[in-house]
Amino acid sequence: MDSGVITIAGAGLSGLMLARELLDRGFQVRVLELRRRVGGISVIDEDARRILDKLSDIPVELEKAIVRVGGRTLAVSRSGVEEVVRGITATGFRVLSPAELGILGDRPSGVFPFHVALDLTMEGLSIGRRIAIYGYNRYSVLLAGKLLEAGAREIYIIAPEKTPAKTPDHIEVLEGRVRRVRGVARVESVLVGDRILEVDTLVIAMFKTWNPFPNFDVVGHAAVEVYEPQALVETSKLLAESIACESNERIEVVVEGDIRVYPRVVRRCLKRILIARPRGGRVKVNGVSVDLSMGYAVVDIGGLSSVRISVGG
Amino acid sequence: MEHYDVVVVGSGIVGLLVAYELSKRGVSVTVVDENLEPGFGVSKGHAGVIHVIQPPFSSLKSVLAIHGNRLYDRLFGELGVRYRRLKALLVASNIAQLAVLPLLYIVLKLLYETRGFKVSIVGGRELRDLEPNVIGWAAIAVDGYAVVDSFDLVYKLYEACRSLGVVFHLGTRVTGVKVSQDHIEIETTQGPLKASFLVNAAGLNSDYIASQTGFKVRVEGRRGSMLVFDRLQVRNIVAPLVLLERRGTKGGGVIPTTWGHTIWGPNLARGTSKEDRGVYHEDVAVLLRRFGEMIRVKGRIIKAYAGIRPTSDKGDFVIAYSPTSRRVVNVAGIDSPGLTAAPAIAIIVLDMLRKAGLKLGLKRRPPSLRGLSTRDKLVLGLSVQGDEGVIVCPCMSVSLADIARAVRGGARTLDGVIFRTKLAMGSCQGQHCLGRALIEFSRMAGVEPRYVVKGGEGSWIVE
Repeated sequence: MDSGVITIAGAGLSGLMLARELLDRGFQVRVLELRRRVGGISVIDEDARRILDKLSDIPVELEKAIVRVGGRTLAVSRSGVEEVVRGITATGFRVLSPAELGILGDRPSGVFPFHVALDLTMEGLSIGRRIAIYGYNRYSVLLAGKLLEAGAREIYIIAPEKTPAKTPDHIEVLEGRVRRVRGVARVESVLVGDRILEVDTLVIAMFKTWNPFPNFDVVGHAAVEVYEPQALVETSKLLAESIACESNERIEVVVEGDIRVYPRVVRRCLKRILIARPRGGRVKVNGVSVDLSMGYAVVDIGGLSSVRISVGG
Repeated sequence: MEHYDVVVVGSGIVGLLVAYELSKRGVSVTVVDENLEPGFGVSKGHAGVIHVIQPPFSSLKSVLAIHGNRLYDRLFGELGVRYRRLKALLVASNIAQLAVLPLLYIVLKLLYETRGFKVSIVGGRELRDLEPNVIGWAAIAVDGYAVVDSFDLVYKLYEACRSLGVVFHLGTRVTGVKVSQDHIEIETTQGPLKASFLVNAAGLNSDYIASQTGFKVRVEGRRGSMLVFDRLQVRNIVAPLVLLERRGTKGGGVIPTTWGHTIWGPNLARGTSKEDRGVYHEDVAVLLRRFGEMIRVKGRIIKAYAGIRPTSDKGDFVIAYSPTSRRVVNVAGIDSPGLTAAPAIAIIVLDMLRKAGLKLGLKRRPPSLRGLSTRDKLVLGLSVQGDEGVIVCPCMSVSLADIARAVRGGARTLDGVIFRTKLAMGSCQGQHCLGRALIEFSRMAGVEPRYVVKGGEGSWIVE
């Protein structure tokens, strides 16, 4: 693969947006997508769809995977294998596995990672009738709506932490942690706290950032845990600005507490950074209080020589 | 009624090896198993270790482990199974362990070096060089262990058996056995079968099959849980140095798999059950306590699973004729190290059948099953084309062509595809591939998605 070309792994919202931003700046870009469709998990997100629609002119190579084999990063498709020299990961969230969430018990059919539940539903297949979705966030609520449309009878969203006062009116939200799955052939019940919930399906909708290609830069859900489409768009804009920087000079960013800053390496030419904290709240940026109630904020840092961010304010 | 020379009940490693060795010698064989795929019983839930040390040292299992271990190199070569030879390191990381190390070293050296397995002491610095990720003061190293992709072994045996003419009756439960003077009749849920000889390799059900032929043995299920981590933590099998058997288990180890993960375990859970394959919080706590302090960088736990050991009330492997007829050979209580011993067990069974009157022909050449997976090709830097280039699972580089090969090889369930291809077994645990895999498997196998099952009957995936 031409080393002048930037390869973007994943044609979800942030991958496509990054392609647009880089193309606008005169870079040569290819977007590769594992699946046979674009949009990633944003396909069920109306707000994201409005942005995706404006990106439909970006050429995407579908059914083209990027894999790491023996220390090399390869783009693989029907037409063969190419080495990827310069790539950017836009492969989205990683869904936490039951084992790492402390969900033990039997291993029957009917436990789906979010993306599998979404892929099957998008194919017009019904993944179950009584469904528990573990994780309370934008995407679990959107999927719940989609599953109800697809014919699910009962849906429970299980929130591992205290829920905000306002919950969607058509879906029951239960608080608690899923601890066990029971079922011989198919899921028969899940244990939430001390309550046994009789369901035939458990969807895991708890997410983490993940970069499967450590030699690549990273954007979107693969880089920051945010739940607003606009935040994904912002990460793409910021990365494109950063890539377009002439100089490599950096700004020192000091972070205290569970706060994520994007991009991780902040170049001096960058005028803004994104600050994310899924739990929301407020943070102080060089003494100035910033509201993170949306889970993120884009903060102006133009002209600053160092940035200090801490929880509170 | 179908009539065979030999009917083998059970398509685990033991049953498959018996069928394989018999069919190579021109014997007509059928294999009956209640599961939908071979190897879905006891053979599904272990850690894939070919052992050396097995106390008590005078037991049949200890002797057969050594014999079986030696037979595997040729077998793996013959079938093209993925495996790797390595050492087991029994690590001392406190004063008490260090104190018993010399004595245990002498015992193991006396027992195993005469049998061709090198035993040595590894000092602190050498241990760091050998296993930089392991915390410990010194260790005893035992050569001659191996890790094997046990699913690869099961399915290569299955394919070899099929091409040698073995007839498989899967999803078929044995409901009764009638032993007559010159033949055996087996009632199954799919109708009767007739054979001249019966090999009972029915794992957790071997006591039932044995009882049908007048042989009394009790088999209990003993659960062992394992944790899987997403990276290689060690190069060799590593375990804390403990003075041998407690409650009938070697206590498991830190085991590097042939596909780049690490398994911790198995432990031995309290109680007995033939059905419960659940993993409990106390099992995980035991494993974390046992191995947690030995390993520096662990990575992420991606899976917890359990297997069931069929342990006999005799406290050892049972390989015996039924009292009513020498036409029936029972193989019961094959718990750990059953995988290791299996080739030796098969030889004993063949010998017992021969002595009971079965005619064995000359050995035929086994079929060649070689073929590279998409991942193999990418690792080797070879080109891929067509469906090989359509990657379904990017973590493990599994393509449409690999799924098609699994279907040709007899996969009838989604787990069958997963175990054959390693699809969904990587870091992302299937999030990017399982949806597509179901649809492609359904298309290739000609089964509507709603009739595709995960593993067993009733394990539907979509409606």
